[in-house]
Amino acid sequence: MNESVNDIVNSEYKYGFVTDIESDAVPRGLTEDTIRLISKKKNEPSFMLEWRLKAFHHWQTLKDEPTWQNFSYPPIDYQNIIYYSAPKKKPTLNSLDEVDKELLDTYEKLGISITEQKRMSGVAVDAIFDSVSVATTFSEQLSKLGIVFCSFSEAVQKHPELIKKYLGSVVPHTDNFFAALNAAVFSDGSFCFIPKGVKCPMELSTYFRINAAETGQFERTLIVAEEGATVSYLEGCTAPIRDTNQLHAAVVELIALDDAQIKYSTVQNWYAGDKEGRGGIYNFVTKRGKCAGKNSRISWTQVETGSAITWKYPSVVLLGDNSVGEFYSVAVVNNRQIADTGTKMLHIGKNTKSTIISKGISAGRGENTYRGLVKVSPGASNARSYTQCDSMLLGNRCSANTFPYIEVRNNSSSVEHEASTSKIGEDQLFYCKQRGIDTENAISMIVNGFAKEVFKNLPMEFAVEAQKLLGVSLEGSVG
Amino acid sequence: MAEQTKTSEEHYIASYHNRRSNGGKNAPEWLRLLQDEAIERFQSLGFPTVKHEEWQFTNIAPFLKTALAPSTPAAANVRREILEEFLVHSDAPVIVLVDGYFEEALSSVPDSTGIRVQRYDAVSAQQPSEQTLSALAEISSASQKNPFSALSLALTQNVIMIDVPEGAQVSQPVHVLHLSTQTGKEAAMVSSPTLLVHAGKESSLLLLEVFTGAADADYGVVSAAGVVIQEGATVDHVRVQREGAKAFHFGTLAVRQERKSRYTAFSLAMGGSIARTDVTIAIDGEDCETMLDGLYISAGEQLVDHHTFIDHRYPNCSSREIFKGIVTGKSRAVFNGKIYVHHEAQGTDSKQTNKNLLLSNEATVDTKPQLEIFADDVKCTHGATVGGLDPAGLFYLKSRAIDEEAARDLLTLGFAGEVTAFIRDESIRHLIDALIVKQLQTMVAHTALPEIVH
Amino acid sequence: MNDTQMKDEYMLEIKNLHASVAGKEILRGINLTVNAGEVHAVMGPNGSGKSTLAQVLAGHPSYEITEGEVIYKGKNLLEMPPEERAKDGVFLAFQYPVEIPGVSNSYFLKAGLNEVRKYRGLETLDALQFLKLLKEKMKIVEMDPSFINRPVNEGFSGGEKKRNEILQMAVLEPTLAILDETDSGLDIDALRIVSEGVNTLKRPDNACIVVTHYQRLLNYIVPDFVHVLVNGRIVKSGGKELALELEANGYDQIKEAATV
Ligand SMILES: Nc1ncnc2c1ncn2[C@@H]1O[C@H](COP(=O)(O)OP(=O)(O)O)[C@@H](O)[C@H]1O
Ligand SMILES: [Mg+2]
Repeated sequence: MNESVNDIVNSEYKYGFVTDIESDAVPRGLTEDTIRLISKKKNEPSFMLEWRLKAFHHWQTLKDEPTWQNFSYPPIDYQNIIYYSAPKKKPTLNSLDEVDKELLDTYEKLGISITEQKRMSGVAVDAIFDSVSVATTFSEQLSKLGIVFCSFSEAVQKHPELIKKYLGSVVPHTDNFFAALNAAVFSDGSFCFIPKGVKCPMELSTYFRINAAETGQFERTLIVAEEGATVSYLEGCTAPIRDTNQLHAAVVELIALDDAQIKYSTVQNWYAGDKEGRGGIYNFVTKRGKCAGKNSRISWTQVETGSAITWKYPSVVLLGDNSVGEFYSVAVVNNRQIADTGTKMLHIGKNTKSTIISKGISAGRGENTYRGLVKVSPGASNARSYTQCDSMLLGNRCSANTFPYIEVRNNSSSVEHEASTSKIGEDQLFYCKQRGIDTENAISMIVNGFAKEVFKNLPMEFAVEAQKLLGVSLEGSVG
Repeated sequence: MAEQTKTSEEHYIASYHNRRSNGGKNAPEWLRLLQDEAIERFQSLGFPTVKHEEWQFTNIAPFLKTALAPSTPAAANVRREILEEFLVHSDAPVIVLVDGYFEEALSSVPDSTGIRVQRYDAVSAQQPSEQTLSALAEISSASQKNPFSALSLALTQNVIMIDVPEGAQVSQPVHVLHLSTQTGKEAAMVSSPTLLVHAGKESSLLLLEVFTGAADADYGVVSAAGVVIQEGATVDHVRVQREGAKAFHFGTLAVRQERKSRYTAFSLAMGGSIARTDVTIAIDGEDCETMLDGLYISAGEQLVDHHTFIDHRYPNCSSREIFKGIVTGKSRAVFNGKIYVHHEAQGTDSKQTNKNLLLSNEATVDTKPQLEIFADDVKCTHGATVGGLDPAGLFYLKSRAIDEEAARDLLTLGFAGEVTAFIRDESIRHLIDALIVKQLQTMVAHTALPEIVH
Repeated sequence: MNDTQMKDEYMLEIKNLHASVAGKEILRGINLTVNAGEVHAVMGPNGSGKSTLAQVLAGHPSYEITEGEVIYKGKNLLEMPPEERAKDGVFLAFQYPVEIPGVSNSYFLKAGLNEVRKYRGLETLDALQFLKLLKEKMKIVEMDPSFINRPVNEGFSGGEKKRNEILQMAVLEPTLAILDETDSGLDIDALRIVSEGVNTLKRPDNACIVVTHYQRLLNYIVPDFVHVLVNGRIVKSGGKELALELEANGYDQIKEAATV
C-alpha cells in the first residue's frame, strides 16, 4: 500500500487507538423494530426491508449457533449488541472534502489514504467505519468503464435492480445462523459490478474499521463479474483495543459469469485480544463465491493474523463447466487466539478444478484448525482437486488440527489431499543464527518462507504488509 | 418388526431384560453387573443419527427397522469344511463361535500353542482373571461414547479370553472364527461375541479373526474386542469381515499398548449391507510402534465405514496407518481416521494414508483424515486420495497389448496387493490375498484374475 | 570495535573440551590453539568427531558441553548464543547446508550481513548496496547470478550448496572460519574455485580451521598446522607434511598409536 503502511508494524497491535467521533447509533438489542429502524435510517426501498425481515424471522427460528466447531466461546448476548453505529457527521457525500476530519485522520493513521490528493496510486478504496461506508475513491474514473464500485447503501439506491438480482443469490439468509443475522441487520458494505468484457484496471479495496464500543459489525460485500470481466479485490480490517469481545459477522458474495475472474484477497488484522485472551474480535464470517459461468475462476487468498476467534470458510461453488476455484490461506494464532478456517469446494460442473493451499502457524496457546470440504457431485466429470495443508508449531502449548472432509461421487474425478504438521526446523533456526540472525528474526524469516506459496498470490503491496504482520503476530512466541 | 410402538433402543433393552430373567440369570454375578452397567450406558447414549458428527455418513435406519432378537445357541450342526476357507492350514489352533456361542466341537487349541483360552458365560461361572478385567476395561472405555460397544457388551453370549503368558512366543496363527448361521425364520438374530486378548510382557501373538455368515440371511453382529499388549510384547492381528450381503455388522476394537509394545493390524472388510468398525488404539507407554492397515471392498448397495482413532499419549512412539478402498456399484465407503497427539507425546512420528479407488459413478466415498496435535516436537502427516484408475497405468498396460478390461482388473488387483504386502506373516498374507481375489472376481472384475504377487 | 583486542592472547583457545550428544560422549578432551593469520587443518576418519567440534564451536544446541572451555578473542565462547558468535566473527561452513524453503538467498544473507555490520558498528546496507556487494562476491566463487533469488539451498546440488557456503563466508568476512568438509562432493574445478575463494579471503587478522578427511583439499589450501582427530581426541599434530604422511599410511597407524 502506501508508505505509511510500510512502517506500521513493528510492535504490538498498532491500530488499537479509538477515534473520538460522535456516532449515531440505534438502541442496543434486536427486535423487528431495530431492523425497521436500520432500514429507515438507510432510506431503503421496501424490497430491502422485506428481505431483512424475512431473514430476521428465519433467524428467530434458529435456536442456537452452530456447535460443530472445535472451540467454545462465551455465549453472545444478541440483545446486548448495538446493531447500527455511524459517524454522526456523515453527509451524503458529494466530495471527499466533506468527510469528517477525524475520520480522514483515522484512515491516515491506518495507512489508508482516502483524501483526493494523497490517494494511493492504482488502488480504489471503499472505507467502512463501524457500520457505514465513509468514502469511496476513484468511483468516477471507474464508472467511465461501466464499473460500479460504491458502498452497499449507495448501490441499493442507485442500482436496485442489480441488488435485487444478486443479493443473497450465493449466500441465502437460510445458509447459517450468522448469515441470517447479517441479512437482517447488515448496515453497509461494498458493492462492485464489472460489466461484460471489462478488465478492471486497478485493485479495488475495502478497508474495514470497527471503532465504537459494543457494536457489532455486520457488513456485506457483493461482487459481480459479468461475462469475460476480471477484478482483483482487497480487504483489510482493524479495530481498537477493547477488553470486551466484539462480533463481526460479515457476508461476502461473489458471482462470476462465463469466462469471468474474481480474485479476492484479505489481510485480516482485527484486534486479537491481549496475552491472556481478554477482548478481541469474534470474526464469524460467511464468504462464498459462485462460479456460475463456464471457464470462470474465483480465487480466495487470505492472511489471518488477527481476531480472538476466526471462524470462516471462503468457498467456491463450481457450477460452470471448466471453472476453477482456489483457496490460499495463511492463518497465524498466538497467545489465546483461535482460528477455525478453511474452505469448501463444491464441484458440480464438468472439468472443474480446485486448489487449496493452507499454511497454519500456531504459537503461544493458540489453537489453529484447518477444516475443509471437497465435494464432487455425480455430474462433475473429470473434476480435479488438490489440497496441501501444512501446519507449523512454535512452542509446546499450542495446537494444530486438520479436518478435511472429502466426498466424491464421480469416478472420473480425482481428489488429493496431503497434510503435515511439524515443529519449526531446529536446523534451519541454527543455520540462520550461525549467519548472525537472532531468534526472533530467524523465526519470522522461516515462517514467512513457509507461507510464501500463499503470499505470492497476494498483490504486491499487500504481500509486503502481510509479511510484516506475520512477524509482528509471532513476536514473543518463543523464549 | 415385532413391536411397532417401541423405539429401537427399547426393543434391545427389553430383549436384554427378557434374557436376564430367563437363562441369563445363571451368569456369574460380576458378568451380570458388567452387563447391567453396559445396558444402562446404552440406554443413556441411544442409537446415533446422522446428526451425530461420528455418524454423519452412516445412516443406520435399515438396521433400526429390523429389530433383531438376541441369538440362541445354534440348532443346526456346522460342518467344519465351511471353515476351511479361512484356515491357514487345517490343524491350526482355532476357536469357533457360532452365533456368538463358543462351539467346543469345532474348536481346538492344543496346549502346545502356548496360550490359555478362557470362556465366561452362564454355563461356566468362572471368576475373571486380572488380565481378563484389564482387556474388558478397554471395551468398557470404548462404550462410554459408542452405543454399539455398550450394546455388544450387554448382549454378549460368550466372552472369550486369549491369555498369552509373559514371554510366550506363539508362532502358530491363532484363529478366531465368528460364524453366523441363523436364517431367522421368525425374527432375525443378532449375535454379540466378545473377544479379549491379553499379551503378557515380552510375549508375541499372531491372531487371525474372521467374521462370516450365511450369504443371504438377515442377521446382525454387534461385536467387541479388547486387546491389551504389555511391555515389549507384539501382537499381529488380522481381521476379516466377510459377512453375508444382507447382514449388519457393528464391530468395536479397542487396543491398549504398554511401553515398547508393537501392534500390527490388518483389516479386510468386504461383507455386510451396513458394516461399521470402530478402532481405538490407546498408546499408553513410551517407544511403542503401531501399524494399522486395511482394505475395504464395497459393491452393490453396501455401506462400509471405518472409524479409527490412534491416541498418542506418550513420547517417542510411531504409528503408521494405511487404508485403501475399492468402491463400486452404488456402494458407499466411509473412512474417518483420527490421530491425536497429546501435549506429553513429544517425539511422535505418525503417518496416515487413505486411498480410494472409485470404480463406479454411482458409488460414494467420504473420507475424513484428521490430525489433532498438541505437542510441538512431532512429525505427523496424512494424505487422502479419491479417484479412478490411473490413466497412465492403464495406457502402459494397453501399450503392452493388454485389453481395457483386463488392464482395469489388473490395476485394481495391484491396488489391493499394495496394502496386503504389509501383512507380515506369509501364510496369512496368502490367505488374505486369495480371499481378495475371490471377492474381486465376483464383485468387480470382468476378466479372470491372476494371483496377487508381492 | 575491538580496540581491546588481545595482544598476547590467542584468537581461539580450546582447553580440554568434552562434548556429548544424546548422552554419548563424542569429544573427549580437545586441546587446540589458533592464532590470527593461521590455517589449521583437522583431519581424521569418519565419525571421529570433526563435525561435532565444528558444531560445538558454532553453538549447536544439540550438543552438551560436559567439560572444558573455549576462549575466543578473550571471551568465553561457550557462553555466547550462536548468533552472537556469528556476529563476533565465527563462521561455520556446514558439512550439510540447510535448506530454507521460501526464503531467498539474498534476503537471508542481507539479514545476516546487516546484523554482523551492526555488531561491528558499521552502517547497514540497503538493498542496492547489498546487491552490488553480493554480485562482486559471487564472482569470487564463480556463482551464477540466478542463485540470488532462489530459496536458500533448496534444490541446489551438493556442489552448489558448498559454493554457496563460501559465498556467505565471503560476504560476512569472518574472523574465524570453520570449513566442515567443504571439499566433499566437489569436482576438481569446483574444488579449485572454492579453494581460491578461501585463499582470496585470507588475511593476517583472520584464521581458518579446515575440516577434511582427504589430503586433496590441502593441495589448494595450504595449512600451517595439521591435527589428527581420532575418537574425540587430537592424537597427533604437525606441519603440512603430516597430511601427506596420512595420505600414504592411512589412519590405522595413528589409531593404533592412539589406543596404546
Ligand atoms: N545427533 C546425534 N545423535 C547421535 N549420535 C551423533 C549425533 N551427531 C553425531 N553423532 C555421532 O557422533 C560421532 C561423531 O560424528 P561427527 O562429528 O559427525 O564425525 P565426523 O565429522 O568426524 O565424521 C559419530 O559416531 C556420530 O554417529
Ligand atoms: Mg563430518
